[in-house]
Amino acid sequence: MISQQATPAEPLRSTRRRTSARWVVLPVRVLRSPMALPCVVIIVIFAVCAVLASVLAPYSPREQRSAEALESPSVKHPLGTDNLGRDMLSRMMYGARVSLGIGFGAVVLGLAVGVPLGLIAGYQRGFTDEVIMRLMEIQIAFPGLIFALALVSTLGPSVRNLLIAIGIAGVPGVARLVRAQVLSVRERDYVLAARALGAGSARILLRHIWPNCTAPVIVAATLSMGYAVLAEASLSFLGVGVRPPTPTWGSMLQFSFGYLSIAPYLSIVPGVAIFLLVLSFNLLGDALRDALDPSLRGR
Amino acid sequence: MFAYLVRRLLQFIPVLIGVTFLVFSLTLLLPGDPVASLLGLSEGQAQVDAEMVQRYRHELGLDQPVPVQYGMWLGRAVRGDFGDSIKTRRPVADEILPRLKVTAQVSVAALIVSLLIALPAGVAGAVWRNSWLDRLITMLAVAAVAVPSFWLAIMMILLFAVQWQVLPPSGFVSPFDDPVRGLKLMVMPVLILGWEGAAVLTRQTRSAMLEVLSQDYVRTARAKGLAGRRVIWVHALKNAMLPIITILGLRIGLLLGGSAIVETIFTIPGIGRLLVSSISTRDFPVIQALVLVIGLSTVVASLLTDIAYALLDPRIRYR
Repeated sequence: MISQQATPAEPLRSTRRRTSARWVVLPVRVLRSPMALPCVVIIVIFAVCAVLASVLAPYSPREQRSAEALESPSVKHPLGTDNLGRDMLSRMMYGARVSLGIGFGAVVLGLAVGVPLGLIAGYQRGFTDEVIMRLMEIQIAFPGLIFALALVSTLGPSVRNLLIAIGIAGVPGVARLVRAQVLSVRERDYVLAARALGAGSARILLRHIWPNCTAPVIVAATLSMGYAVLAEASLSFLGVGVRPPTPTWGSMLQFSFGYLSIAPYLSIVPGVAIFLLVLSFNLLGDALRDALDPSLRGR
Repeated sequence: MFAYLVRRLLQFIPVLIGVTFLVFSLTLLLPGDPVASLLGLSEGQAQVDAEMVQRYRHELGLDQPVPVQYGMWLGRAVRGDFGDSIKTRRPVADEILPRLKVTAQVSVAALIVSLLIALPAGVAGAVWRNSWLDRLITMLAVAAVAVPSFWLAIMMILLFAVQWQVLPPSGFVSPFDDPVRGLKLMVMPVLILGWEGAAVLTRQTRSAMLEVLSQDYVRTARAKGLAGRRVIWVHALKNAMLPIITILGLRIGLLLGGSAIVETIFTIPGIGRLLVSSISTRDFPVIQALVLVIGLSTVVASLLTDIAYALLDPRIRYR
């Protein structure tokens, strides 16, 4: 009895230790799945290309050499050149910067708006919950791509607006996921215990509920990276996203589509890059899900 | 059932109001003077034609408070009046309706293709769980979701239209007018739109079938000596269809979204291509009307899905 009445800091500290242990175990368990390692390698390679594009790229992505237009892959231009004689490898590297940057920014924005909404809806329940969830339902009425299209076309095409549009399109998914998680976590005994010890709503929500909701959010965020990259590529391909001359994989594909019969490799390279990156994020998301909740394996 | 229907319809009303308000509020987000955007005038022209802009502002009620503006806009929208297209100067409704028919044809065909691929593949994956076939199907389904549909379209054009020249690269003829050419033109777009849906539906079918196959009534059906095939296709699949129907309902909206890409590539005169071309010409009245049509189709599809679900599964009705 006496030990149970020990200072309230005791159980808190032990949860924290367990949480930090999980962050060590998690990568180990994820990498044990056979598909995870190649995915991580691919993502890291693309990320390095994106960050160090200005160092690694052999040419400027905007430098036009009309004499070298539409060259097939060679030693000088490993991925060939486009119709304006621009080096494809360099453009792919700079394109990775835009594609990954928008993808990452959009996911962060989606989480920054969606997580608080989900936390509040699930914790407050009642009227607040009704209002937030109806709003999310209204937004879901518009397919993500259409929603982003409408928003970008209204706000005007730019990297910033594209990021906002894709990010906001992802909010309902995050909010619904977090809310569902909060609804189940808030009924646990440790939440009741925290409340009995006099913890306020903010403390309960941030210290006791939120840390126990992170697992599915991490999985969802990883999968969303794939969707966001795909969405950026789709919108740029349709010509409503990033404006030329900024290279992105989607706009490069749109450009090369016109030269399909003369220079098919121009269309193959950006598509393979998008496919590999999106596939890696999706498979990594699946591996994370298995690592965080082994009962779902094989589903 | 009746009580459920009424409840579901009542829940539908706020969503309907919200969807229409969201589309209406796009006008408020427009940079610059919305009247200038609605008339397709540049800032300079709008200053020259100040009187006309003022007249339209009053006519459209854009000088009124926002709720009144919304009411007036909704009133016009209900009557099918979305203004005139900036590009063609024809009523927006006349632009949209014939294209809606084209998109509907392509979308329905794509849904059928999705089901034709997904049901056998999902059932096979569940019945022969963890076999090489199951692994292959799962792998293909995972890969299919990651392939950008526009890239797949480009690769198909490269192979079938440029290299082997067995299919026409783009265009659209209604299969009801010219069956041979119409169907040939539809092969690639429909396969691409259907392919993505097939991937999602296959995973769903597989996990729903796995769930059902472990149920007692399936074992009972087997125990009383029914043929394995009958147990799988009649007893199990019928019950596994419920979650599949939900996904199908969601597909409607996604198909309309995907049509923007596929119709643009294959130059199909549907609403997706109209949306993209209207965006590049900044034809705001058409954009607004199309977003509304797509939003409403999605909401109605999800309402019908819920009703179908309730008809098929009595547990939903009494919850």
